[in-house]
Amino acid sequence: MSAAAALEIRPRRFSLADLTRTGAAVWIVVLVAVVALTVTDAGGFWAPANIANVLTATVVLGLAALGQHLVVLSGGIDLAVGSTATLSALLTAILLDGYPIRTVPVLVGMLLLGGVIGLLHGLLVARVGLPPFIVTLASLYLIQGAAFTISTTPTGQVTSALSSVALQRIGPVPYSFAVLVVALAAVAFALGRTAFGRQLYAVGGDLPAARSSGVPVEKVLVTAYVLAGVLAALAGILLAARATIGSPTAGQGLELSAITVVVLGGTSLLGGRGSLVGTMGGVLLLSLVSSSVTLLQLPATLTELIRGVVILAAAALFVAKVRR
Amino acid sequence: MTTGAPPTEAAGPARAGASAGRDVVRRALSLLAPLAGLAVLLLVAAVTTPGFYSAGVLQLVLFQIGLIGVTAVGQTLVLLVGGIDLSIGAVIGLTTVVIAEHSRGDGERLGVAILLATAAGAGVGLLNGLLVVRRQVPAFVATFATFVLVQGVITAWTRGAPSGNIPGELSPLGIGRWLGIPVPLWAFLVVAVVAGVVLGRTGLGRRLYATGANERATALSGVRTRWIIAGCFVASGLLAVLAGLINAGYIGYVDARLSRSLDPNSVAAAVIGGIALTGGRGRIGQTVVGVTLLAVLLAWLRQLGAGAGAQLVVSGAVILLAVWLQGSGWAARSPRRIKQRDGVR
Repeated sequence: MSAAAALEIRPRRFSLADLTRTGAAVWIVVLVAVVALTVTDAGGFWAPANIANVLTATVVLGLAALGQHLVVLSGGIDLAVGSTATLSALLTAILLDGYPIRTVPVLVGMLLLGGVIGLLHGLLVARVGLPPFIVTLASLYLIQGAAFTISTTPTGQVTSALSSVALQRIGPVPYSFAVLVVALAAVAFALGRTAFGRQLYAVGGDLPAARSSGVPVEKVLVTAYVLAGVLAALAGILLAARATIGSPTAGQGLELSAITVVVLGGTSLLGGRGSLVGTMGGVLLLSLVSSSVTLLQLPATLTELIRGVVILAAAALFVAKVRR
Repeated sequence: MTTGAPPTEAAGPARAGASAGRDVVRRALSLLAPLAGLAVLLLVAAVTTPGFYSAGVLQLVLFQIGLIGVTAVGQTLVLLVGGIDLSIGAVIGLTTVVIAEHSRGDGERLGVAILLATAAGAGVGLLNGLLVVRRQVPAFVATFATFVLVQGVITAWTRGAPSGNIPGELSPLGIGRWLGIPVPLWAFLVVAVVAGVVLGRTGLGRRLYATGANERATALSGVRTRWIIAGCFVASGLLAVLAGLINAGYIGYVDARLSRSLDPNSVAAAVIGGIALTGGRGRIGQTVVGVTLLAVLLAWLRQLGAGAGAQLVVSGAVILLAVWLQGSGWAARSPRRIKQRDGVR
């Protein structure tokens, strides 16, 4: 206790923990990675095609991470982000089956599906009072099992319009990047400018205190999970668009990648504290790492190992040690 | 997770005193509920699938009980100290790959291969333990991360295509029988009895329960809780290796899908038996009942023609239902647990 007090009295000085917490640390790492890649292969890295690759990789991960960010801020966790994206990708491709006329109802249906999944998570967490990780872990198994029941092999067909959103680009910027920018703007607005945003921080920071000061705790929690579900479903639609078909393993591992980038960005897994800028830095870092495997012509089988090492390092180094 | 459950919850067996009589009733009830579920399930299975009580199905169920049971005991140990181990499926896959890649079907190299697999499993468990104990990473994040890491190691090492044969010398562990009962079931029984004795009859067991119930208080009273928590993760890793050996001996080749397995079974079996996710509560006997219930359920589904997807759905639903019921109090001791959220777990 006295050590903590002493720390506060001391004039502010450079501290690694501060850097991590504000999300600046991950941007420094991103900068270092960019410099390193430029030194290694400037022509290849800054080629429009490669930049487009990096940006494309940020879209799906970024959408999933935005949802995860909201849930983690609320003091929970959503392990079903990946499987929700998988189910949405699979169903998008199967239901569209190449018919442009079905596009709007199917896409709306998928977003609703994501919303319903999130609603169930939210109700089980907020009303029944079950631990978020076990609710969403069980849900991960349930949804992944449902996807395998629908099809064990890649199937279906998205429309050419939808796949062109994911695959075509203007210069180095893919069309699909606009989806991420819009979603990011919406989440940033919700967090910074609305009552929901303030209440979310309050609930994540101290739930009993928030409840006794009149914050509608259940509504806030349910909203966070619903938004996470919708964003995961949107990520799934773009996964399908990118692959042009639906795969029952499309979003596997996305949930952990999303948690990783949120943690990398300095958001506390205990809730109530986090930076959207940091989360986006984490998204960019993970996208740089995965795309540089191709750029540096490393064997593709190394991708998973590198991802695993990054995730483990993030867990070991960035998860806040200090408990409130 | 490691800072311990709220002090309102008392450790199960460590609690003594006046309410001993009511305790006995409660203990019986906590076993009775899953047993009743098992009885209903056996009845339903008998009605819906006529061939369910054949010798072939029975042998399969007994094998499944053994295989799931070995991992569930490890999972129980980790749950009791307030953690969870999601890396079990990956360790099972890693064991199979290590055995196949190192021995290449040669029985003389089997001994070294088993040693290597054991070291790998202990290493994964130690990594989990260190992340949880030293870095205070929530257990489900730490073990999920090692799950991904181990998958990555398998893919990079085998270049995405695991190959090689399992030596025939290992098959007795998978398909062998002793006194008419499959060897995996014996392995489970031995493991369960050892774990049960350690938990229920030794000082180590009491310290383990105390750690799960309230780590801070236990640490302050001089118990090396960090060692106990890390030890539970290592034990879980080692038991996953044993399950991997059993599985390798049973199927006899490398199943490439195995390393991708999410493997919800150990968690499902433990919570269905009534092991509390909050730590500190639950006995091995409950795990045994949970394992039996889950194995019968999965065998019944297979008889109905359900694929791997449907089995995953059912496991997920079982976990959710069991945790829900635990929260509503049929197995839990403290009625005030509902609505009480103690941070991220």
